[in-house]
Amino acid sequence: MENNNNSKNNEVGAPSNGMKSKILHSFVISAVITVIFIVVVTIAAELTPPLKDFLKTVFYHHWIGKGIVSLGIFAIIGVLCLIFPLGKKDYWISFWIWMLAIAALIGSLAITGFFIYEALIK
Amino acid sequence: MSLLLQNALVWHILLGLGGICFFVAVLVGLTRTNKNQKFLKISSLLGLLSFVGSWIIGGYYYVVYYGSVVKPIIKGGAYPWAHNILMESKEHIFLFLPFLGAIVFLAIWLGEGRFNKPVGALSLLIVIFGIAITFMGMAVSGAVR
Repeated sequence: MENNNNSKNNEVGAPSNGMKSKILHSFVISAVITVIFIVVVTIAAELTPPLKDFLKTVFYHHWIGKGIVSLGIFAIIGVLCLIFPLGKKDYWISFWIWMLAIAALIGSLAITGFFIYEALIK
Repeated sequence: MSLLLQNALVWHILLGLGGICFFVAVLVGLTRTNKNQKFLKISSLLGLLSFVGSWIIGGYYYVVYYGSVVKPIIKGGAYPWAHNILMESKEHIFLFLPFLGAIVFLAIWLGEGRFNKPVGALSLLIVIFGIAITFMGMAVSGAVR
């Protein structure tokens, strides 16, 4: 099902369909890793005060630190994935978009569940 | 609260709600039989920009004012859980939204209609997160009074 028709992309400088798929594939994988990172760093920073203090010291506020590091991870892993020969098949791109939705859903439940536990149960 | 901070709070809310509306538009656009790619592209772009704007402006308000003024009032009041659960969850789940929005944007602009089902699911999740975050924000605001 891979779409290799480049006829729509004859403009100078326009990426080919293969390149478009690769960019999308790379950044979807990067987004999955970024979402997992946000969940892990959020919980880890609450459980490990030195980590929260480190983020505060370097970035002025722990929340700013989490945001900036997440942006960095998204950009760096996305670019690194572009270098590696990932498949361009639609199946795998769809698979990773579904994985992103699942990771975000589970991650949101994990974050909320963690703060409920910390506030009411612990 | 200074006029700048009042404006920051209002624009954080308006851009957040705008972002939700644009991703509702993406979701509705994806369910149509004849999909209008231009409409989907513009809606996803505006949705992403709205969330990024809400992130930056809301972050400014949160760091400069909420933490030092509002948070102590809530934690010392009758509803400390409003901060400990709702605000903590809200501020961290919000971090997902620009990345999820960026992938919907990239998938629509680069995918050329090949990933409608997973992109629709991701847009629906963005809308659900956005609505949940809005209600959490309303509850946190209510806990200050």
